[in-house]
Amino acid sequence: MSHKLELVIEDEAPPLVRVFANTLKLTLEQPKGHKIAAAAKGIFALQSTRGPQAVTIDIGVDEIRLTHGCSEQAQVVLQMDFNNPKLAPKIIGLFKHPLLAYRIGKLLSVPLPDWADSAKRFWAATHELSDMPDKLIITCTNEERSLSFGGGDSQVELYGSSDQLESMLVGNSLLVQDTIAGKIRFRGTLQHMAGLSQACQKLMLGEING
Amino acid sequence: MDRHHVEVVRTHATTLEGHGVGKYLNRPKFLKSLPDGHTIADMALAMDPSGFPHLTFWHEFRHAQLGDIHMRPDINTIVSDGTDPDLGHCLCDFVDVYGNDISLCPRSLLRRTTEKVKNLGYSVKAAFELEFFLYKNSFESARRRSYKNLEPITASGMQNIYLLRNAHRYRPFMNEVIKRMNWQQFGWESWSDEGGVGQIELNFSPCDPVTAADRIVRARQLIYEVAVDLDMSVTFMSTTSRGYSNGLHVHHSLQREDGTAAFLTGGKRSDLFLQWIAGITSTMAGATSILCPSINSYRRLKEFTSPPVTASWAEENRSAGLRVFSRSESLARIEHRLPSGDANPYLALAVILAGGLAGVNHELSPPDEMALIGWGLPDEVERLPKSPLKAATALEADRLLVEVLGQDVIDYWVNTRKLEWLSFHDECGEADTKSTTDWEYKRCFELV
Repeated sequence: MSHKLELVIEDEAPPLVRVFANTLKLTLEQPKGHKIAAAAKGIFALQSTRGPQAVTIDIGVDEIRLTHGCSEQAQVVLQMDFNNPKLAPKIIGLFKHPLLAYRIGKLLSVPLPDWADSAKRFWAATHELSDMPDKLIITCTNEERSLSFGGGDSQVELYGSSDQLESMLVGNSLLVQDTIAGKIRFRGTLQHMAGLSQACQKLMLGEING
Repeated sequence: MDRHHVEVVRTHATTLEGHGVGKYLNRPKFLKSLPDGHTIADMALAMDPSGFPHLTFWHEFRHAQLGDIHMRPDINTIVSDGTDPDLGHCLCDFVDVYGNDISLCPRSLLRRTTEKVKNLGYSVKAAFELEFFLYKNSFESARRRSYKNLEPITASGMQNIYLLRNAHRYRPFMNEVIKRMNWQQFGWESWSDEGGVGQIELNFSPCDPVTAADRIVRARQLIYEVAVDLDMSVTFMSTTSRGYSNGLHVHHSLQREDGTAAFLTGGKRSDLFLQWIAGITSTMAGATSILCPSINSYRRLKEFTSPPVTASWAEENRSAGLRVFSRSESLARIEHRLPSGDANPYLALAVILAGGLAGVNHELSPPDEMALIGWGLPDEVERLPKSPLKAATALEADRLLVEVLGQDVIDYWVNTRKLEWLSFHDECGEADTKSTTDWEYKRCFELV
C-alpha cells in the first residue's frame, strides 16, 4: 500500500468543505479508496448546480487539500446536485483529463461504511460528552434493524433511513435540523436532543473524530 | 405608577443576542406578578437572531421539555412613557421559576461582575457611545428594498463628520428622540453627526454599569420607536454595504471609596490602572467574541477605518484597542474601542470588567504602550480575531475570563457563536462574502 495521504482542510473551512472532508476521510480509510486517491494526482472541483457552493480538491503526493469555491486551476469540474448526489453529474474537463476524471469517478463511488459502522463510531466518540443519554437506540427504517448503545436510566430513540442516519452520524448534518425537517424521528428529551446535536456539531467542526 | 397614572406596564428584558423581549401587562397583573414577575417561555432568553431556539447545546436553566422562566422586574427602573399617558416601562432580569438568578441573563451577569469589582473596594462608572444610521425610508420600504440602496439623511452625501449641516437635517428626528429621552430621564449628554453617511452618535453621562447598559437597550428601543412613528428607519447593525460602520465604544473608570480616581495615584497612573489595562488587553482576543458578536461585526474591523485591530493600549490614540486618559483626575478613564454596534451592552461591559478584574487578581503587567499608529502594521504583529469562529476559539481557550464570568456562561456563548458561523455558511453558501449579505441584513437591520 502506498504511503498515507494526509487530509488537509483550509483554515475556517465552511461546512460544505467539512462534509466532503468527512466523506473523503471515510473513503481513504478503505484500502481501495486510498489506492485510487494515491493514483489520482490533480485538482478537481465539485460544483453545485443549485447555487454557488463548490469545493476544490487538490490531490498531491502527500496530501489532499480541500478548499471552498471552484478553483480556476481545477482540471476537472463535476457539476452536481448536492442534495441528490445520486444524479449523474455533468463533467467539465473529461476530454482534456480523461484519466483524472475516471479516477475521480472511481474515488467518489467507493462504498463507504454503512450507518451501523458509523453509529458505533459515533457512540464511541460522543457518549461521554455532556447532555448525552445513557442509552441510545438507533433504528434504520428501510432495513428494519436496530442497534443499541450504552445503558442506564435515560434513553433516546432515533429512527431514519440508512442515508439520513449515515449523514447525521458522521457529522454532515445536525440532529435537530434533521428532526425538524422530518428526516429523523426522535423520542427523548430536549436536553438529549441538544446533547446529541452538539455531538454532531463537534464532529462537523472536527473538534472530535468519529 | 400613581404619580404618572400608569395603567399598563411594558416589561423589557434583554436576550443573549441583545434583543428586547417582554409583555404589556395591565396594572393589577403587573402588581400581582411581583416580586418574581410574569412567566415567559425559557427559550426567549436564548434564541438565535432569526428567533430559532438554541437546540444544539444545553444549559441547566432550561427545562428538559419546553418550560417557563420569569422576567423579574427591577422596580427601580420604572418610568412612564411620556407619549402614551397610560404606559410605563420596567426593565427585568431573567430568573428561574424559583426566583433564582439565571447565570446566562446578560443583565444579572453584569450586576454580578460589577459586584466583584466592588468587593475589591472600587466602584465603577461607565458610559457608552451609541451609533446608528438614519434613513428617510420607512422600515416597510427598507424591507421591500432588502435594506439596500436606502436614502440616508445627509447634507453632503459624503463621509464628513461633525458636520453641522448634516446635524441640522437630523434635528427633527433627534428632537423627538431627545424629548422622549428627557421624559424618561435617560441622562444623555450630547449627539452629533458621525462619519458615515446619515450616521448619528449619541453619548450618555457616566453612571453605574448596569444603568449605563440599561440606557443603551432603552435607547435602541426608543430610537426604533421614533423611527417607526415618523415613518423612517434606523439601524444599529454593525456594517451596512457602504462606508463607515456602527460601533459601541464604552468608557469606564474606577473610583475608590472616597470618590477619587483609582486609575491615578499622586497624579500618575496607579498600579491598579496598569494591572487593569493588562487584564483587558490580555483577554481582548477572547473578549472579541462578545464585543463583536455577529458575522456582520467583523466586516467593521478594517484597518484605517477607526475600529482597532490589535490588543493594544495608549494615551489618546484612537487606533489602539484601549484609548486611555490619565492626564487628570477628572478625565481618568479607559475607552474600549472594539465593541461593534450590535454588541449586547450588558455582556460587553461584563467582559471588559472581567478582563480588568483578571488583571488585578493575577497582578498582570501590560504590554508596552503603543506609541504608533495601530493600523497597517507588519503582518507579524498579532491581530485580533477576524471571524466569529476564530474569536469563539480564542474565548474558549481564555482561562482568565472563565474565572470571572463562569465556565457555563463561556461555554454557552461559544456554542452560540459557532452555531451562528455554521448557520451563515449553511444558509449563505458561497455567496459573495466580501460585502454585507442579504442574510445579514435580514438578521440585523431591524432587530439589533
